[in-house]
Amino acid sequence: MEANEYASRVEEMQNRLFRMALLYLGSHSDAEEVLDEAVYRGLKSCKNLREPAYFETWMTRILLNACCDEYRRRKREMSFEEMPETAEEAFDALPLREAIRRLPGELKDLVILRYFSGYTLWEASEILNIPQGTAATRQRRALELLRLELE
Amino acid sequence: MNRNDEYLELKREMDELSAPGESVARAMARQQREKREKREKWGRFFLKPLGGLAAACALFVLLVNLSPAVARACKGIPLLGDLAEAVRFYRSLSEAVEHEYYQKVNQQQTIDGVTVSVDYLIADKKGVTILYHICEAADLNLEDLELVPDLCLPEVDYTSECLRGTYGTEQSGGSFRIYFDEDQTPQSLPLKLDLYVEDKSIPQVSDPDVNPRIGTESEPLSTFTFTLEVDQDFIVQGRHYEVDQIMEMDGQKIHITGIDIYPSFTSFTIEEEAGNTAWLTWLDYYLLTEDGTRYEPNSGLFAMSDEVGTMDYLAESVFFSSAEKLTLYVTGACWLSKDKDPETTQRFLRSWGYSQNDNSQYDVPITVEFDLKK
Repeated sequence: MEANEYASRVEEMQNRLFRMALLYLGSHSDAEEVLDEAVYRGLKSCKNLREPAYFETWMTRILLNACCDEYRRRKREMSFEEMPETAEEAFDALPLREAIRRLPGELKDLVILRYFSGYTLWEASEILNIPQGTAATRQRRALELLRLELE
Repeated sequence: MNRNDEYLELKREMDELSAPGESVARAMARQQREKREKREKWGRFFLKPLGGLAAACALFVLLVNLSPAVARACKGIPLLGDLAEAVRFYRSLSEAVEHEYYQKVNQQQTIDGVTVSVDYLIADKKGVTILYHICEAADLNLEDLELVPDLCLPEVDYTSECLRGTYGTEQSGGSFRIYFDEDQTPQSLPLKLDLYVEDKSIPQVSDPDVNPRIGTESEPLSTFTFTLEVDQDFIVQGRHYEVDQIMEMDGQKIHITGIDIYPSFTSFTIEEEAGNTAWLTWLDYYLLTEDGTRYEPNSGLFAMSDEVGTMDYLAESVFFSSAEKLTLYVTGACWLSKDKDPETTQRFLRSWGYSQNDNSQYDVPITVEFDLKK
């Protein structure tokens, strides 16, 4: 994919990418920084994307990787830890936004993709490169932890 | 508020949010800045000693550059009406022309009775070849004239060469090949052709690289300028293949990371392993497709680099071939030990292709195969 086409496609989906980063990291400035990083990573490798049909999946994966990298970096700098799945009561005590941010990474990815970015279970499993059954299990577990009753 | 209400509230809040914007512009600016910084960093290490080469380090099989002495070698070739025949010395250009892959320019300019014509372009993602000649020269002897090409693009990095004996007439003519960074081939090319007159009263010297009769310090008789518009269809042509192959030679490892196939050449990128004890200074190689067709290293410029330990090696183009497999045969290599004294290392850095030491030739070529179907 050429850089011009890449720029145009990214602009179409950058609001969605920004929201995902914001939910993942919790702060506007971090989300903006990670969006910039993801867009840059995409620009550097867009020439290698041979199937434009997979652009959205590919770009979303780049953003989630950038979020994950930033999250790891910040964990080293300050107390910014995910909580284990066993900490059900602790999740109950947190506001939803904070509870999502403290979910284990694999559950958090799925919740953000499914319930805040509009992807179907199948699309989310493609983005995360996991079987649909695994995605369904993670979705169920995440909803249990968050005490959400969503389809 | 229960959790589901909290979710709906958060979802609504999120849906109203917009990205701050300009991420794409910032990414593009960052990419440009990093490229520039990389070049500048490398320039401090490599380019300054080369003194005058504008962009990348370059290895030449034949000495072809912008010196008038070499440009002189581009003239005196009979102009053949058929362009394909005119570029016959360069297989890649010849095949491009056979496939009607060229752009007619037909621009002429006359100054003081001398008419210069720019006739054709052969362009792709990575560069442009320009063919030009002197049509008439009033009272001047055509054999004494010489055109020295350059681009008026101070902001753009490029490497260039005059192709030896590719185009011309009894009159003076030549071909000018410019290599840009990938996807940086400009749509508009401001070409400058300086016209020099040879002073035959100055004795000729035996060194083919030096022609004291025309020195770069002398003033040109006149300067012809053309603005060439390159067709967009041409400057998008080229294919890139990511590869990941390690070759081991003489106890050193090199990593082949990419193959690029353009209409006017093929290149493969080699990154030297950081743990190697020697620099790779020369490589003997050729490419073979599955039908047995052999593609030689580029005549003229055969390797370019803008980063220590990374080099793009150039070969004849397989662009017009239907090959699905491409095999690289390495038949020899030269190395410069990394523990050489600083003076020797500097000498290497000043002259790519310095290859007098640690030269290896392989009785059985070392091969690596690439799949072009992906």
